Amino acid sequence: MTDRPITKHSWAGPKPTLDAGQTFLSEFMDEAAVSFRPLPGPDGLAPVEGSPEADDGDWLLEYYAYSDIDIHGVEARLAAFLEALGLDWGVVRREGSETLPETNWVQYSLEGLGLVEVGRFVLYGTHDEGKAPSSDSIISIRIDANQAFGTGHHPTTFGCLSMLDRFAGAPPTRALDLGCGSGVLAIAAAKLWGIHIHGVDIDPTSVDIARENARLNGVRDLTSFDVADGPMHAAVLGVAPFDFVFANILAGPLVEFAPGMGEIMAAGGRVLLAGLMAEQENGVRDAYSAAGFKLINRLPPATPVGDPAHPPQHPVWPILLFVKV
Amino acid sequence: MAKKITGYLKLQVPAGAATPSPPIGPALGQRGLNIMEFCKAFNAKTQEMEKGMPIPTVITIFSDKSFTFATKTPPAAYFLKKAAKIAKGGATPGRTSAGTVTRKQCEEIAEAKMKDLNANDLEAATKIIMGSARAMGLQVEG
Repeated sequence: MTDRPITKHSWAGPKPTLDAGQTFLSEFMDEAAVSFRPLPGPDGLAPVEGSPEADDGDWLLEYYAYSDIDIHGVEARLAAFLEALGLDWGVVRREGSETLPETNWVQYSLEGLGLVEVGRFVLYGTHDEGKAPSSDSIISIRIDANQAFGTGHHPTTFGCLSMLDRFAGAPPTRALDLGCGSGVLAIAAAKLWGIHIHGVDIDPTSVDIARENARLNGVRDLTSFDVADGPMHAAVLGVAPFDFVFANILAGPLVEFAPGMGEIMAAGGRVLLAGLMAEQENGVRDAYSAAGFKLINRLPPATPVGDPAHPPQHPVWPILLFVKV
Repeated sequence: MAKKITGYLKLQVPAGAATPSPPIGPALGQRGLNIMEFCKAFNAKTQEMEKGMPIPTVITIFSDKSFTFATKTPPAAYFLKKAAKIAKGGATPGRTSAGTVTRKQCEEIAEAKMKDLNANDLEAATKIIMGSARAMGLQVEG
């Protein structure tokens, strides 16, 4: 809360120009807060960074400043800064200025991080402790939205949990969570099957967070986490073989890891893949077919109920389940 | 876990003293980030620094509202004010002088901030620093 209102000024234009613009605002303006992202389309959805749409399309620069600043003076200084870099502020268009209502922003941000319910799983943040329904049939998992991916609010995590919930085969005996992020899938599987799950991630921060999340969820003894950059890393090979592997990563590494996945799994083992987009599905399926896997199930993404960030028309993230033949 | 980036936030956050107050609260809140988780992590990471020193911070936002952040050296404006021994820029830049910095000081600041300024060479970076000094109401000598 403040007596001095905040105004958000927005500009759209080419990525390099606005990237330099955000540098200026954060280096030369006091108390600067600047947001920089691919420009959302008319449907309100922004392309994912790294996609051709994001690279070639316009970006959006938003500057949060006290309402009484001279924004025209700021723009003049921005233009001079860009000129010194050989860039032209003239190609940028002003999208508007909006004075923000006084809001309890902490409360506001938590409202968007509500419960995620997927089959028997219920995911909640610390702020929702006590709100999660409890019964013998519910598996509740406490996960906060912090520095590790995997809160359940993205369709890929949601879809993997949905696939786990529906899995009707005999429970595996030893599982690997490759690219564990927050550890959410490892924790879910440990709670579901009561077996040991080994999680690895390329990001040491995620590994620390996954360990802490496992402790908070009472499955520290059923889980282990380590830093590793793929299935052929010593931290994976030392624990192999596995009869179930989850990998919610991206299409590129999933394809790259396909031969290694074949190495660390016995015949009959399952591998659950996510993080690929619909247009990347054939490439991933071909790679796993060549590595000796057969597709046995596929889910269209389920959408978190009531989550405005992921409406049903969000680009499809298929979830694929293979068996090693 | 699949990290799908949806955008970036750049903030100046006081070392060891991040709070949800404006403009940090609105900027993070509007993007749906967990404000208290960020403040907790940022304050833990910057607790050894001079308390309150403005730290440019780049937050990468992922599509499930998780995030990572990287901290950088203090902003160029902070170094300029320090060089001119003033607390804030001039109220009417160009007309009244808020203080003085030398060309050599601008060059030193440019060198320290080169990698953050998108500039190709030291001369361009120095030009940016000198231009910004004048825009802040500082006289550039030498």
